[in-house]
Amino acid sequence: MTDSFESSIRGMPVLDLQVLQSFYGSLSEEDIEAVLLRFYQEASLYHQRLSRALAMQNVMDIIQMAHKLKSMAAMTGAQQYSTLCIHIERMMREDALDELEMLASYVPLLWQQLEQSIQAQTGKAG
Amino acid sequence: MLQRSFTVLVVDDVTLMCDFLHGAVNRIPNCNALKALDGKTALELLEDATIDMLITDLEIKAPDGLELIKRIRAGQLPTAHDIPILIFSGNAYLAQVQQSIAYDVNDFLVKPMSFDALGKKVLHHLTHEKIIQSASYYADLYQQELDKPIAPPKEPSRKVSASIVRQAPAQEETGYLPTVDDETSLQKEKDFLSWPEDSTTGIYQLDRRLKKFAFNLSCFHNVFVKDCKLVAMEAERNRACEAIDYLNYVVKNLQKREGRPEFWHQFKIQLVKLNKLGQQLEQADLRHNSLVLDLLKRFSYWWMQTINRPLVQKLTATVEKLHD
Repeated sequence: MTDSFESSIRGMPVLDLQVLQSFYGSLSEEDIEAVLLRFYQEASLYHQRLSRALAMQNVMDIIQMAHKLKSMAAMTGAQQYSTLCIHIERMMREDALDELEMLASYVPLLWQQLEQSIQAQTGKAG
Repeated sequence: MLQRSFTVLVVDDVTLMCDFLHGAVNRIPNCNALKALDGKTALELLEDATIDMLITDLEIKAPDGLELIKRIRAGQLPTAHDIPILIFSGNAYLAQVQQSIAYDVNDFLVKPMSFDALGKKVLHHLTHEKIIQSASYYADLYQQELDKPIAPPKEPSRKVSASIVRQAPAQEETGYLPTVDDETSLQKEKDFLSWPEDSTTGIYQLDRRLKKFAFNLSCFHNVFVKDCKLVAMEAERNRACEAIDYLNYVVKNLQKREGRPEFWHQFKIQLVKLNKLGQQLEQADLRHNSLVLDLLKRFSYWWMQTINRPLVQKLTATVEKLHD
């Protein structure tokens, strides 16, 4: 599963603003910055809850947080992180707890990369 | 182009998504969007405003998206029961799709979706009518679903629980659990909390919610004592907590309609106690065996206090009282 996850995100951008544009239609740089910041504010809380739930193996919370994050990340263009959440949610729903630990290790890593990308982007806009 | 103005209620517990829906709908000429981040707010809006279309996520804070849909279609809200309803969800699980179809949902939109695509869908469903059955048809369907949990062998959630039950180890003597009677195997399957036969609070909807809570907590108890997988325990716990949330919601509404101030005063005292227990259950580490057992014991005690007089009475006594 981890191999397939790695291969699924290979070559995928951390943050793809074209995806964001395709969902929202044409956005100005200010609008993009606003959407990214709103995503970051809300997703940070869910990310923290996901991390806590993973540490505690709180299944319901893991499913709920991964479920919320996958869509909002996908819509914002955070493709790698969205794909990670899709994998996590699917595994939890399939009760594949053994695979979870391996996959959970990607959560802080991909989030950090996403955080940096958003900061770079919003810094650029500002 | 729309010939008149429409009000569309959008519901999603993720603010970003809710704002996205709100923005997409508001872009359409003659469309005005209202938004709600949870089921409760959505219900309030459905009760207060004239809504022409509902777009909702399924997984929102209670009552969830499906529950909203069922109540609209069953004509339980002032909003017209036949408005177009679009589901906006990140998942399309078979059970949810089947239920959505049963309640004649107009469309199932899978997240993420672009502004343009969403706008087109909204326009399409506002201008193309779908044949919707009468409210009584859905009300019957809804009622059948609500009544279903009372028949334990046919309850779907129980089936799910059973399918993930591991081989149960020898039962330890817990001391608090309802005594396992050796007489019949049927008695061994007796629910942890059960509603006394021919009894009522005098308010049918309240009885139903209490029975639902008893059923859900009994399911949780069942998977817990049988040492099921954590995922099963978490799922049943979640259902029991949702049943408590919904009981609170129903009580709030019923209080407005029903009289009996003394009854409600006493019932609310019990409800406060139940909410505290519910919070503890929600936060409990399910691997902490003795903690959960103790909590279940307190739930059992609460139940015994609640399902007796003066809150719950034998049906015959209630009828006699009515005749008097």
